[in-house]
Order: sequence, then structure tokens, then C-alpha cells
Amino acid sequence: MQKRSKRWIAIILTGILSLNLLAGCSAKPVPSQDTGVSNKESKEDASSQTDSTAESGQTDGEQVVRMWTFLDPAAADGRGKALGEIIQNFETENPNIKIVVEPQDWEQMTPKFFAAHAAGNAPDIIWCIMDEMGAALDLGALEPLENLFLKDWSEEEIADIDDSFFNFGTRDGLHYQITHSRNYMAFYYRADLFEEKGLSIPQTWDEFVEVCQALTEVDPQTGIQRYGFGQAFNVDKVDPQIMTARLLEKQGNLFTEEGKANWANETGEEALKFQLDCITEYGITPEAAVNLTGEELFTEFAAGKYAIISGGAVRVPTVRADVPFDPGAVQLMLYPSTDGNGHAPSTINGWCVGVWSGSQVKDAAGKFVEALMSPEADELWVTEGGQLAIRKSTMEKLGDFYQNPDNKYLTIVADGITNAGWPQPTDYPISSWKNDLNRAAQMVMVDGKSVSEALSTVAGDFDTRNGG
Amino acid sequence: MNVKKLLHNYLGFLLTLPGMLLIIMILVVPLFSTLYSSFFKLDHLQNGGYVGSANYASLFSDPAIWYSFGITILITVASAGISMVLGLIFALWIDRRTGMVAYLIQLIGLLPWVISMMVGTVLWRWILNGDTGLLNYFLRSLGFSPIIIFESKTASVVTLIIVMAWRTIGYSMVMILAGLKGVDNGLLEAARVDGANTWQVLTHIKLPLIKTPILLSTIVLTMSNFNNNTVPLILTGGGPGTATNVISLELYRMGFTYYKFGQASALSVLVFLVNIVFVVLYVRMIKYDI
Repeated sequence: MQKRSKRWIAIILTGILSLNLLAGCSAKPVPSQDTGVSNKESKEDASSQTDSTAESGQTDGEQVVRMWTFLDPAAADGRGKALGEIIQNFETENPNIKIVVEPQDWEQMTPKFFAAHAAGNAPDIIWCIMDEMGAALDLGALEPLENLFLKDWSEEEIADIDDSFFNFGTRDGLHYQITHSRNYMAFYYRADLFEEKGLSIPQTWDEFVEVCQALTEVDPQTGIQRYGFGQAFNVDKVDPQIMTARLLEKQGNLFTEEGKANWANETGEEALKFQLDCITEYGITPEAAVNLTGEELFTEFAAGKYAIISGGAVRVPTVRADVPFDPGAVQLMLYPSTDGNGHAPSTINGWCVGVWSGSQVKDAAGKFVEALMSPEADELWVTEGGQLAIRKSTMEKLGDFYQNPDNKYLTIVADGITNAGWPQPTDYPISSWKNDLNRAAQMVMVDGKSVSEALSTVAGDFDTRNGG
Repeated sequence: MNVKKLLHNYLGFLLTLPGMLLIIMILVVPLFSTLYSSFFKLDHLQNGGYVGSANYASLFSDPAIWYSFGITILITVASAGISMVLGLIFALWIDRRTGMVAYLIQLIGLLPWVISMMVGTVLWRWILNGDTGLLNYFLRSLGFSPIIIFESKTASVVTLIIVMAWRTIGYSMVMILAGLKGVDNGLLEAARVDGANTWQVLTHIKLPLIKTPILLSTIVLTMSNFNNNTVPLILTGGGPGTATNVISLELYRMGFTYYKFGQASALSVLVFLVNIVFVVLYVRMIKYDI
């Protein structure tokens, strides 16, 4: 009797496992999270849909659109809230389309997208980091927006969004992305400390060093050793460092026309040396920079360890929300230049939002990508998310908003992008160039290699990897 | 052959078939897929064609890979060794005690193993961080100079070993304690009646009888440490420079930072082989047939 019971239990368990296997084989990827729409009715609705239909594709007349982004519409930050509102409005206007957001780690999202594209199960909408746009286009992973909605746009509408971001990554006259979270590498600085010490915004690199030296001291209030200038040379969560600006100022590009690394030269050596002299000669950057990530740099800036750091302007609202001192003291300035005329160029960055070429619901996905930059959505991104406007009409409409001193940074960013912005090339892959330049800094600081040897090594690695 | 006899002969096979299929799908297929990919150039996941053993050749000729393997073995063996020795000491001590103290030590010892690896490592990173870390805050408060950890190669390696050992001491302690609880008290009493001292009881009775949990814990911890990506990534990020660039980090970056998926597949195969060698080596060293 006992033996028979065991046999039946084994048969039942086997049946359950078999059913699970069959279900697993037949199911499409199940999204991990609903849209995070805040109102109760929508949440109940969303949860019921998640159970039965929350998979990419069309079910019972409802189209489910999966989107990968680093933003979380359920989060309390400005950009997350803006996205949540946009989704809610879109789903109200399009009851047959359900947007399912699957928040991702920003650094791993693009490689994961490439892998998912190869495996045939990528999300319908992707936020691709600008650095990898060339590789994404080479893979044929994105659908031209002309096939989706741009074909229906009037010339006036196109003119409203026509700028260097809109034309980024165009091939054969076709557009594959709309750039959101438009970013620009600039200096974050503590305006309160500048005021306290009677310092003004540096116009040259020499002045910059002097200002940073004046700001390097033990903070009398917190007892923390404060450094004038924070840098981060870790190869994870990487942002471009100041040697990029120095290189661009002298030679205009980081790559040759064939897509090879163009930094193992005299200009590159001078740029890297200046960057490292901030630690070894000027004493304005701590040695800890060699192993610090871009994320940690922001955390330590908020903790009061630095007076100035280099970082993506897009984070200003987040940084202000984190600091224990007056949030209004967090301000932005553009990079100085060698002769004080204008500013050294800086990297334009952002997230290229596009539709996956293998999507089963391209039209619905395209419709949402279009909705993400509608006049109403664009205004939300600016006012709620603290982002740069995509549309010129939005900038004109929100004139008063930009005049507010708290939003002054947006005008500075717009000025930087227009007058000293460097869009990364997309004609050839340039993967991980920022990591390579940071590796060079580490080789010099940690392994004792010479500047030229370090730059030659990483340039060789870059060329081998990217086929330049 | 009637149905009943057929069922009798093949029921076991049929019952295990779904489990075997599951294992084939999630373990065997990816393994062979990785092996297959390792013979192709797959930069940015674009098929650059069959390259034979070129991916393996480039790995073998790269000193950074050899260094990475070396530092991984050092960190793995050292952290597993510390964990096993301390786990054994704690287990022997707790085995002789009952009550709240023993209970609390078990609880505290197990905490690092049961909490999220990421959370535990982030806490260590915050504690040991240079100017803003808790450790240096206390040192400064007591009038000492702050210590530098993550900027020093040696200190980073030592710290990584300690944190990895800290994470697993509780696991080895509990596994060994379970073995000790299974030792027949009659044997211990007989040994003492025969005049054996504590050391002799330990080395001639207890340790031989708990060699199974010790062996199994050692294998599990070695594999766990060797393949651990989370702790090195969060604690040191492989740095400074390449000082703590363990093989799992190298593999991760090769694939997901530098997009060299063909080479990353080849490295995965090598890491897999090393894992196999470790298991075989341990089993043969102890001469214990599992």
C-alpha cells in the first residue's frame, strides 16, 4: 500500500513537472512588472492583465508592448513619475494597448538587448545607450521610425524636433531613434562653497586647478577631507573623464575616420597626464579615484567629499534630492578651455528610444514611442523630470520655467550641447571607449606604466575589439 | 510483452524523463551552445565566421588571463581555507555547548550566508570606504590615521579574501556541526575510557567521522568562491587596476562590457573545465568515493 502511494505521488509530481516544462516551452517571456500606474483601478486592471495576457504580442484584441528602460514608472523620482503619467495617459487614450515596463540596470540594458535580439525575444521598445547605437544599427536591431509614424508627420512637425539628436544615428536618411534623457557631461559644483570662498567660475584649465586647490580642505562642519575635484576611474558605471574634453579640444575627435582609436599620441598623453596630475601634482583629487565608479562619485559628492565633479547633467534633480545641504547649491558649469575662449567640447549623451525590428506589435510600439515625445509628454519630461525638451515648441512654451534659478542648469546644458557638444560617431562601433580610457588611467596609477605605454595598450585593445 | 510488464520495466525511466529533459535544457544545451560559440568570432553578437581554436589561442597567449586565473585560485583557496578552519573551530566549540550562547553564535554565523550577497558586500564597501567609511570614521575618532584599502593592491586582495570567508563561515560551521551531531557518543566515551586525550579524540575519531561534511563543504565553498562574481564586482570592482580581477569578472566584462562573445564563450569553457578539475582533484585527494 505504501509502495503504491509512493508510486502515485511520483507519477503526480512527474505530471506536474511535465506540465511546467510544456508551459515553459510554449510561453513567451513574462514581463516582471506592470506599468506602475498609480490609480487603484488601473493597478487592479494591470495585475489581472499581467496574469493572463502580459506577454509581448496580441491577445484577445489587446496589444501588449514590452519596454526596457532604466526608469521605473512606480518610483518617486521625477523621470519615473513623468514616465508613469505618460503611460497612464497613453493607456487611457489607447485602451487596446498595454505598456509593460521592465526596468533594467542602465549599464547592462544595451548588452542584454543585443543578446535578446540575437535570441529573438527582445522587448518591443528599447532605450539604447548612445555609445552603442552604431552596434545596434549594424545588428539591424531597430526599425526605422519612418515605417511607423514619421511617414505621417508634416514638415512642420518634423522641424519641431529636427536637431542633432534627431539626426543621430540616421542611415540612408532613415531615423531609428528619438533621444530621451538628453545628457551632457559638465561640472557639478557647490555654489555655496564658491560663494563662501569668493570664487568665480573658472574659464581656463589653469584657473580650474587654482579653484579646486582653494576648495581642497577639511570641511570644518563635517570633518570630512573635502577635495576640489572628484574623478572616477573604475571600469564599471563609467562616465567620460576630463581627458576626453582635453582631447576633443585639441583634435576634435577621439577616433580616426576609419574608426580607430586616436588617443595614443602626444595630445592623448598630455590629456591623460593632466587628468592624473590632479591627483599626483595638484592634490585636488584623492587617490581613491582609481577605483571609484561613476555612481559612487555622485554618492560621495552628495556626502560632501567633493566641491566639483564631472558628470552627466541629466542627474541634477536626483543629486539635488540626495544632498544634505541646500539643494540649490548644486549647480552646473561647462568645461573650461585652454585659452579661456569658449568651452572645451564635451560628450553629448542620451538614451536612444527605438522599436525592436523583430517586434510583433511594431505599430503599437511605434505609437507609444511617438506618444513619449508628444507635446504633452515633452512638457512632463521637462517640468516633472527636469529633462531637456525634445521639441522646440516646448522650449518656447516653457520660457518662464527656464527663467527660474533652480532650472538655470537646463539653459547651461542647452548652451553646452549647442556650442560645445560632441556627438559620438555611429558609422563604426566604438564600444567601451570610456572603459578603455579609464583602464589607461588605472595602468598608470596602479601598475606604474608610462602614460604612452598605457594609452598604446588600450588603443590596441580598442582597435582589435571594434575592428577599426 | 504486456503493458503491465512494459510499465514495470520503464516506469522509472518515464518518471525521471521530465527531470532529465529539464536538466538537458537548462544545463546541457547551454553548455554545448557555449562550446559551439567558442569557435566563432561573435563580437557584438555578429557572426564573424568560424575561427577554429583562435579564441582559445588568444586567451592562452594573454598574460592578463593567466594572472586572472592565478589571483582567482589564490582568493578561492585562501577564503575557503579560512572559512573551513574557522567553521570547524566554531562547530567544535558549539558542539560542546548548549543554550542561548550556542544558539546565538549559530544564528550570527549563519547571517552572512543567508542575507543577500549584494547587500552584505555593499555594507562592507561602505564600512571600508576611504574617507567616508565607518571604519576610518572610528579610527579618526580614536585619534588614529585612516587606512587605505581599495587603493592598495595587497589590501584589496586581503579584504576580498576576508569578506568572501566571512560570507561562508556560517555555512561551513553548520555543515560540520551537523556532522558532529551525528557522531556516536558511545565511540567518544569508549575513547576516553581508553585514555585518549581531547586532541586524540578529535584527530582519530571526530575528524575521520565528519570527513564527509568537511569534504562536501570544501567542494561547495570552493566552487562558490571560484565562480563568485557579485562580491568582487561590488567590493573592489576588480581593482585597483587588475589586482582583484578574478576570472568571473574577466568573463563578465569580456562578454557584457567589451562584447567579445566568442572569446567569452571560450573562457567560459575553460572556467568550466577548471571547475571539473577542482571537483575531481578534491575527491581524489581525500580518496573518498562519493
